[in-house]
Amino acid sequence: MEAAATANGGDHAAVAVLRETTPFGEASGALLARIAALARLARYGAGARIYAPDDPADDIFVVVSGRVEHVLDPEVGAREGVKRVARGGVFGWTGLLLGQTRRMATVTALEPTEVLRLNTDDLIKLLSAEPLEGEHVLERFVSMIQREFTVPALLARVRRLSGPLTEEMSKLGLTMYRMSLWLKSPRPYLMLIGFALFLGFWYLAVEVWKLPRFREMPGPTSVVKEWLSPNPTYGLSLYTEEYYQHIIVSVWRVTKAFLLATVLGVAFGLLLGWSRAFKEYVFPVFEMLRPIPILAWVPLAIVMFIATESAVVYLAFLASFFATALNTMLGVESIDESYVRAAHCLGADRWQVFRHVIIPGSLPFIFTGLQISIGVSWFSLVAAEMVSGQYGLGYVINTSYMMVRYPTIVIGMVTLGLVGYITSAMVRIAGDYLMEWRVRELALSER
Amino acid sequence: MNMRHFIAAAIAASLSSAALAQDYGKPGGPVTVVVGYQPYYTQSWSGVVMRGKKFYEKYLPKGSNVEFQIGLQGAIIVNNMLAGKQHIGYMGDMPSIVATTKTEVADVRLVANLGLAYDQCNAFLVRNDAPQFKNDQEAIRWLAGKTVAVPKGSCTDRFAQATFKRFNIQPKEYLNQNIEVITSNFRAGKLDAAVMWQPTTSRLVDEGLARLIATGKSVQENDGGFLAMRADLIKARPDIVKAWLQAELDAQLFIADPKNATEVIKMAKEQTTGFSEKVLWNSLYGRYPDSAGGGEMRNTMHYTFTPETRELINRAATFLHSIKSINTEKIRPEAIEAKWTEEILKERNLKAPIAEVKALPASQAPK
Amino acid sequence: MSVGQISIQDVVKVYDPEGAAVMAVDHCSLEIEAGEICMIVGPSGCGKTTLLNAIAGFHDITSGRITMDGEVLCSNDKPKSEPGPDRIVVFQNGALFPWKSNLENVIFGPVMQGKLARKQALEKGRAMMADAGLSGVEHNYPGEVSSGMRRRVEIVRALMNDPKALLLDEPYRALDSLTKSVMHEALLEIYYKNKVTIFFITHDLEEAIFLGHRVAIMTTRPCKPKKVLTVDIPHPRDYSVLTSKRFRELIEETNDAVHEEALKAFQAGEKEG
Repeated sequence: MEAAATANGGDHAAVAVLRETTPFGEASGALLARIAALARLARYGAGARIYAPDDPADDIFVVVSGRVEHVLDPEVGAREGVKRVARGGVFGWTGLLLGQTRRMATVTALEPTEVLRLNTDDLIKLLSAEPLEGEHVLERFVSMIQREFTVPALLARVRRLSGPLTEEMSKLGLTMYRMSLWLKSPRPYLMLIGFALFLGFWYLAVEVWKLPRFREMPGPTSVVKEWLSPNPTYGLSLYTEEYYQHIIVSVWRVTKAFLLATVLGVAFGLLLGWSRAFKEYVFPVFEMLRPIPILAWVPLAIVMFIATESAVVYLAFLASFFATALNTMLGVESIDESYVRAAHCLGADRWQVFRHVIIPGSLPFIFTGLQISIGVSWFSLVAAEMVSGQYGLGYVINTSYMMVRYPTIVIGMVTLGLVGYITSAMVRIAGDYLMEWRVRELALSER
Repeated sequence: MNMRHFIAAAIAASLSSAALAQDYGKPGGPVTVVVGYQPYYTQSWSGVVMRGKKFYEKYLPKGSNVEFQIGLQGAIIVNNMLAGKQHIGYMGDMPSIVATTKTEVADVRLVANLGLAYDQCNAFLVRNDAPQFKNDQEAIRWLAGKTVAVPKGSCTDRFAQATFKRFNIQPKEYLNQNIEVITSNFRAGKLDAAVMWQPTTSRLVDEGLARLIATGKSVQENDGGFLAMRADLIKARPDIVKAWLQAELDAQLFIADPKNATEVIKMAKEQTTGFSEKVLWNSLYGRYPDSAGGGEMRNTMHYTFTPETRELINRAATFLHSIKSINTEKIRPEAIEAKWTEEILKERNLKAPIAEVKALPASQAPK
Repeated sequence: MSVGQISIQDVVKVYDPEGAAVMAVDHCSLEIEAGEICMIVGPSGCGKTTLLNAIAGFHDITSGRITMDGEVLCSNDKPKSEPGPDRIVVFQNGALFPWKSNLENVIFGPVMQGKLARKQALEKGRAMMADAGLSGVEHNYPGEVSSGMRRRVEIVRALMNDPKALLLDEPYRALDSLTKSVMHEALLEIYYKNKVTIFFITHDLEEAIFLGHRVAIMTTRPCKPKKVLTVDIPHPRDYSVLTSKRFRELIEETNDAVHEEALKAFQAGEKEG
């Protein structure tokens, strides 16, 4: 019945079939080669019983050719208990479950079949040696078990190399986990390399090679020297209290402008998307006001608002508002009609559809809009703070321009950029937190 | 032209344009110069006259090209001169000093004085509904605890701070705002006081947005304007320097002559927008009441670097250093090139100051 | 059970009557018996979805009448009906709300209509999901489970409202054939437990004959029944039916009709395309 398991000679062929499987499909060539080296080829005739429930769960099977029938034990509770597995399919993964050492299915070859057998414990050892990739492979096992074998009750028991199962984590836990993954991945380092390249180019262009139009710019050394100087020539550095006052004032203004723009913009955008009548009356005016630059609003703002601070916040709010409202409107319009129809079929009235379909359905677009809007808010700050007269990063940049203090202009710009980046990332994280469903969906499609 | 040719050509063009940037031609031959000036500041008005009357044509080699560019503020001209986009600059005292301190970018030097005055830049304005003051001293004391705005880093800043120090008073808020914002704020009634330079001072008064209450005469603080040139121009074409300064002398004499007042104002009107002839005339030739710090002498053209001029430069430099606008307390000695103007004065048998602009009777003002 | 009888009487649907005047449905009449699985087979674009949309209340009809259990859904006087929980649609690409968990989706209907308090809705939801073999995925989001599972959750979501009829618009079209066959068995299992009328649109003849009590083969646009076949294979059925002799015979009988319409549709498409 069962042919003897032979040592695997055809590594290439093994790697090829491993690539076709769900769990191993995206592993690196190096890892696959090592797994292939572990694998043993086995052959079964048509009708052969490969294993039955309660047999020891020693190996994982990968089908190379032929077809087997995999019938899960009714006790397991899978409703799609019968599955046919052909080339590229994987079965016999019970050994991956914590505390499971016995088979849960009956597997029979429907025709002459060739498989690769991988000893479960050896595989785990191999994957542990490659924590990042190994983790990824196990995640894909989970994915496969859930999707193809439909036994989600077992998911909780799949062994992990380290860390919890994402499906089980709370929202906060998920966010923290993703951040820790990000830190462990190469991405933050690539980011730093990107910055280093940029700074390197700036340094070389201005100070070393002295390229034609770059030569007159302030170079990174003069900027950094000024920035880190306890007694800066032009009055602004990491050591001066004023520096932090400027940052705090600007951050506070942007926060106010952004929150106002979000609340009003989302409400406005939802109305624009939801009510055709509203859109017809209001959208043309909206579109006409939208392209007007902030600088043009400055004199009007000063006259319109009693407090100078309100004028500044208004100016920073404007562009933000437009970005948010427009994106929200597009978000509403992007919602697939089927969702609204389904809600109607299920008896929801207009307001319920708005609350349960329109608003959550537009959230992804809204958050894209919010990321843009907070950037735009920072951007407007330089113009907005012209009105302020005393504090703010935009004010610093303006004044330094007037007083021809080049290094300080760059310090202002860089600080604004950094702080803006941080706030933007915070918005993105908030979005991930609120739209957990999307994060999980994207995670499963490997993004 | 395939891609490679295109790229090579582009690189060659950009490099050569940089190399060509400061080629002033051969001594004696025609030259192309770009002049930055501030028609929105009266101390720069010899530049206005130069542009209008083209006095330089008499002195520059045939075939020379002069382009005038308006700078709304001194800082813009400074930046342009440093970048080599302008070679000659007419600026107020503060920006011209700043321009000489940026040697790591370019070497800019002062070659002449445009004028010295007590109320071309240094003019305190208060909101129209402020109380009537007996005299300028009382008015200044009123400023204590009020909201005052100036465009910081300019002569107005220096004047305001000197005034506060001398009278030992502190404003409640000392804001840094540009002209447009100050104008809007006066309109919205949000400012108590501001310091402004001419001709904007006259316009604000004329529009009823503010009142003049004190000037530099009240505290004996003067202001001035200077003519700056890039050092590479001076080195490469001393003949052009002299030629220009000859024309400048003519222009300064022209402004000071009361007979030319109407023509001067006409030229100023052509080169600015938003100012009526009446306002422009008041800026340079008008007489402000003595109780508000007004006086008969509106501007004195020193032309060369007299002791008074140098004193102003030193005082201004110290101030700029104190507010961390420049990195040195005294400007470098070679930044003041007095020899050109001294030579020309000797040749033309004149003494500095060469002329004075006196206030003219109000009857002569345009309507 | 005599609930869920649908009567389609002489229905005509013309799109853009003043413009292009495209006739999608041409005097179509069909009687669907209460509690039966009625399969509608036809090539793509022939107008079967239009018919479903009219029953569901998403579109209006130009003329004719549709009634359910004797009550008029739409007619000449009232060309469009209101969508409601008595006849719930299961959509082609699935319309489970991706931002709600599976369980939240399932209880949506009764909670929105105020028919059940949330606590009871949750209990009933869990029970019905368990019945359909969906225990364990209550708190997952639809995006996290397989498409086959999503379809079943959507059906449970519909059934929670005790509808008279389920209107399925090619729900298994996007699934691979292995999953599809499993889905068929699952659907039948659900049907055996909750005898609703099922109005099922498909272009797959095998699917139609395997599932349906009756199969209506529609002409290409404009659509009307060309041939209505009674599938006399007894219920309950399982996948062994697929290889039975009677099944093969029925396929043979109807294949020609289906193919003929498919060809017409293709040629019409070529002309338009």
